[in-house]
Amino acid sequence: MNQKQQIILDLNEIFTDIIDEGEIMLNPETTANDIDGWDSLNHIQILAAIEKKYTFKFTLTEIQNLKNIDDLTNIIVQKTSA
Amino acid sequence: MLFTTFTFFIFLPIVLGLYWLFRKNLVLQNLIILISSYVFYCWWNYWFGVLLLFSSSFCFLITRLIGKTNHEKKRYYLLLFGLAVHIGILCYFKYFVFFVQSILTLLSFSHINIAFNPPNIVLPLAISFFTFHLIGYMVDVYQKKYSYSDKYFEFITHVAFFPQLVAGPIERASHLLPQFLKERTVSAPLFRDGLRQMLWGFFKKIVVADTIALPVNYIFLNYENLDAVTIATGALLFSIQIYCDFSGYSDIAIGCAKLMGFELFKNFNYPFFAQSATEFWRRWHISFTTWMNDYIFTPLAFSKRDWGVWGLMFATLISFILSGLWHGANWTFVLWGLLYGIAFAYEINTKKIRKRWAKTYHPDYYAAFSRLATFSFWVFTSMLFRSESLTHFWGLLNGLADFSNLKIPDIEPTIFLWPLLLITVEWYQRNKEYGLAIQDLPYYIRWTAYAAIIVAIFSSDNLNNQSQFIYFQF
Repeated sequence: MNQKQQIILDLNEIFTDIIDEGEIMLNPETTANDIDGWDSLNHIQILAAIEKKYTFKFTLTEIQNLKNIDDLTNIIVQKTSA
Repeated sequence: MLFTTFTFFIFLPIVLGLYWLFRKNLVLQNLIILISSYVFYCWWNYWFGVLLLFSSSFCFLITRLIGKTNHEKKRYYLLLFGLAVHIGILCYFKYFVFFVQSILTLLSFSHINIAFNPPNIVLPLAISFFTFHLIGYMVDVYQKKYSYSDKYFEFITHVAFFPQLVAGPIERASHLLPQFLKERTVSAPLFRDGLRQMLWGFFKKIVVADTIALPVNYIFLNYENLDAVTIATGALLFSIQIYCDFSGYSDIAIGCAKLMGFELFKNFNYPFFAQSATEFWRRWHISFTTWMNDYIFTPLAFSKRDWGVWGLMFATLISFILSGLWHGANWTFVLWGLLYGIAFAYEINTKKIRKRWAKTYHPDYYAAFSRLATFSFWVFTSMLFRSESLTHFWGLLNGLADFSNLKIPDIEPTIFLWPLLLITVEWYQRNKEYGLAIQDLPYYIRWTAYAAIIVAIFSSDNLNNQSQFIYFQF
């Protein structure tokens, strides 16, 4: 399993826990439109949980340019390998 | 120029005729849109056109400067300058008198009395709408989400585009501007769809909203002499009136844009069927909610994410108070925003327990109860929209709390037929783009519906009666 796949597994857990609408299976192309309950309120909580897990901080520009899960995993890879 | 006047019914075919006559010439088509949009806007007051031209030209210049430099500090100061100018213009026209009077009222509590003769400032129509459009674009360019435009003519044309100029949907340059840079085409089904959506918008505004406006105006004006049931009925009717008025405008705007081959944002998604305040705001004035979410709520909530749920509640409260102020310079709107902020805070904190309730009770009953509670809250808060002051609102509340002399409201029963019909149709059509999206039905049903709506519109006394759309004042 490569690093990005592992990150998506971690994200599945975080999303499932915060959105609380049953098990969530993410893939790189998943967007907010694909998941019921991934609204702006949950989005902020998800980002805070990711920051806590990986011990880094997002910037506002980074989160505002996110389009899908692939973008999110790319930032996590970049931040954790820096 | 109002959509619901004979002037517009003459204006639109002329514009469309010229527009499609020159379909091979994009520049000429855009020029026709630019001229017609300024004619449309200046119909009220030509000074409005001067302000619109200044605001869009200034935004064009400042975003070019932001986009052309890589010097971060310079970009930041340019953004601040641009924001200060746009917000300054908005504050001067919309909030100056309100702020001064509020400060003087506060001072008067400390026995400091200063005389103030409010200047007669005319609020330019649409200023809140196009200012938000321009601010959004400026921030997007600053954040490099969207590259700056170097096409002045197309830029000022897209800002002034008359279907969306006066009351939205609040567009984003990233969505609308590219449509001005390429050839537009309209298929026969899309053209019919545009006409159909406009027809539905006219029906909602002229037949439903303007008809129920009469008892609503009477009740809100004479509430002191009316009983609780009548006041509650007035609040209920007003909440439907404002929906039909505003979503009707949006349908006309979106349909009108379709006739020219443009796509505007969807602005309403059957908000009366929402099961929570959070969902309501995902369905009501969507272009405004997403704007507030992207430019106010998300940066605020993100900056306070370490506060956990408190950070979310703080950001929600501030966003809603600002939303209230956007609607008007009045404490009624601030209180209205505050109430929705509190409702959101309640929903954030009770998410898990509400899910448990939903599982405990029959899902249909729980959904029906949630819809009723959400709608009732909307009816209650709508009274703030209609109240001229907090004193007026307080008087309405006192009237609602007085259970003596209750009686059946003295309102023509047929007044209730249109709202009932509308809500029934919308319930059955709730998965469609808009209420009259009946293109899949057999032709004899469709044409019967169209004919009935046209007869209802033209037999209504409200056509051409110059009644403004409620959202124009915002």
